[in-house]
Amino acid sequence: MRAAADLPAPAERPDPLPGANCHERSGLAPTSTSPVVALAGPPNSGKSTLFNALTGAGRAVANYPGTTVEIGRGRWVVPEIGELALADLPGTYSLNPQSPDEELTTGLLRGADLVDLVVLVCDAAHLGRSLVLAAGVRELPVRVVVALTMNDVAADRGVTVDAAKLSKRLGVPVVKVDPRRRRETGALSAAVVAAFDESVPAPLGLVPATNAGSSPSGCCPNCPPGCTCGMDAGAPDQEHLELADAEALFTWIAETSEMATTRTDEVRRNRSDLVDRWVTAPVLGPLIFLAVMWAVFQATTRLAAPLQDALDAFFSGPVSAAVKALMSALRLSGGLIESFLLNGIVAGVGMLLTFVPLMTIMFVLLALLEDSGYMARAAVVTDRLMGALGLPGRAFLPLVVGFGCNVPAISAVKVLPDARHRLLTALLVPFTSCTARLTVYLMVADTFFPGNAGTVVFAMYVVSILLVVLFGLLLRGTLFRTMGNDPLVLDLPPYQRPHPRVLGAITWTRVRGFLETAGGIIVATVTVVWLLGVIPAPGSGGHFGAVDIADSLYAWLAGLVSVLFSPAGFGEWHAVGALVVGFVAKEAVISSWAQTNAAADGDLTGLSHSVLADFTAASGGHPQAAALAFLIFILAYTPCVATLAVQKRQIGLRWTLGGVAMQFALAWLLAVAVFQTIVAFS
Amino acid sequence: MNLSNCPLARHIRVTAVSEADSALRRRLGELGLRTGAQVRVQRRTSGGGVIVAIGDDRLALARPVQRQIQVELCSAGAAA
Repeated sequence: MRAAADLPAPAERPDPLPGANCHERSGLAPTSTSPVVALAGPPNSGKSTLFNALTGAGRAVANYPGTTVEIGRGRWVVPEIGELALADLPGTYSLNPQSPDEELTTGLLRGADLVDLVVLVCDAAHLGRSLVLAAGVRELPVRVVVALTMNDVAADRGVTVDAAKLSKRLGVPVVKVDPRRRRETGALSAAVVAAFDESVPAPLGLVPATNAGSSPSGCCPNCPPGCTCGMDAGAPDQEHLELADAEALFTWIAETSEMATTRTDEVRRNRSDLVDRWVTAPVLGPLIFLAVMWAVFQATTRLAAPLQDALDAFFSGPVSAAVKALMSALRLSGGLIESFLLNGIVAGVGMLLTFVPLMTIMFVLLALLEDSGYMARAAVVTDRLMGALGLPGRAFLPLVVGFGCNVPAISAVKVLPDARHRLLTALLVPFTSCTARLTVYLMVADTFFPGNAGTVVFAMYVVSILLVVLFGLLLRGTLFRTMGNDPLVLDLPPYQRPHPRVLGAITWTRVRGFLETAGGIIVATVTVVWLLGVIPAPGSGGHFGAVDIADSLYAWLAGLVSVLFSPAGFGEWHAVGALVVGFVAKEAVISSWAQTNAAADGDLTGLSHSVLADFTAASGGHPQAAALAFLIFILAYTPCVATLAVQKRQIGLRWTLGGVAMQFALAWLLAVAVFQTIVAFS
Repeated sequence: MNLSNCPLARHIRVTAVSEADSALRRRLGELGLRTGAQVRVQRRTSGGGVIVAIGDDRLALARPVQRQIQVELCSAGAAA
């Protein structure tokens, strides 16, 4: 029995990476005292499933500090040792990274004092592929335990991997695990405990050439027979050495794979191939894909809507009533505190929670699509179409979901395995026109274009798609110029039946992460807007908490900002005030607009009249041009504060703010261009 | 002959992988597509992609990648 304190402390070991410091380590382990165990493995090897099986409550998935790459972190309690900090690193095929995600994994594994032990996940059904990474990791000075997964999939194909033989070949313990059924994780912990007692294993020494330089003969030691590089004068070049290393490595992998694997003669039909015959077929494949996208869209709109409405009704009904009753019991009725609780806190928390059903559905669907193996096929089917936009096929899913709601859509960018693609897609999603914006389009189109409202609304959707395409091309040509347009090379994992427990665990971790990030931002923003409405404007003579909305700081600020919108034809405080509310949530635009126009909630005719009068006055007699400019602005600027919250979680604060600025600039330019063009030609 | 114009469902052998893009070449090697590998093109997908079987592994490759991979029919396949 050993305590965690007996383990070698990180500082006692040599530090080969000058850049490695406590901050980086803290990115892996929330508490600095626990030994850090990293889970590494190729994509689709069952790594995250194992992570979920090993860790319990308290695990979290968040971006690694300073990156937009997500890693999972959790506590793995091993009775003999105590608590281990387990980090689930992004999947990588080798230590030669080709994306920011793979770079992070490679960097963390190479930084020898960052990780105390690596649990290397090897896929028994694709052993050769897993051994590429295994061979790389075994050159590093770190303790390694191999977890052999997918033994059932391999058995289905008549393949058995001999753990003992593989262990001998790799020089580290190999344990078979079945994380989907939570079996045999005990054997894995025992192997980890034993590995901590041993010293760090010596590297395999498979690839000496790049380290040792040229051999005495002048030719690298791993050169294939018949190689003539040593005959040339001078040392062999680096590329040649790498190629020779690769040959040596692949030979070793083939030998190891052959040695450790037994195959029965019985050849069973590969069920995944049968499914793929339909799912990736030239015509049927895209049709199946569209059907799946339709189902996802319906689930995130139709299925989520009644749940959201019910939660909304619960907060505006019973919860608000309870707060009012409490206030009246405390004799605080009608006061500032009641207003703060109702319009700030209850409204903010209510708004946050209405996203929960939607996000839960989205995360379940994402996990289903990913774990089943369908997402890889969808990427193949849409590769060409999205490739024309410089995006990978998987970006299609977030963009489709965006037309329902941008918030789950931005969470859905996690289906993209490359951080650069996630960033680009997360910046494009806000231009997809969500259903909340539709309520504004309908009201404005009905008011200003009574005969052609349908056409105007349809045009907004066309503009939305154009904005996604054109802004995408613009970003590709500027900020993302260095992002390669790598042609598709994609591993198609075998189809698997998703496991409900794993699905539930992943969904819960993600929903909790959303609540933690979005909670503060949404409640704070709703409260600030409430506060602006109860503070009297300078010189209005009103009292704090007892001020007419037209005399509030909110109206005063909207009036100041409205000058900016004069060139777009709607430089008028009611309209600009509606935009401020629209920044928080587009659903609230109409009701807030009605409130500031002193029209009763639900009295759309009264609102239409005053809006028409306002726009006619502000636009100098071109209300229709101003209305179109207003609609374009509604479409293109920040969708809502919840979108910003999930963006911050996915791509970090800096890119989120950059995105807000870009959208504002674009929305303003388009609105002004639309108004000025129509006025000039009318 | 390369992967983009070779026959479907026949046993073929990779004879060369273009060295023009060393990162791509390395990744293909890691995924099992390297000189000497015996593979089979299972089907073509919409948009010009192919699905290649390498043992039990399945790889989807876009057309520009297919052109980087030179192949020949295995002798057994050629005789059939």
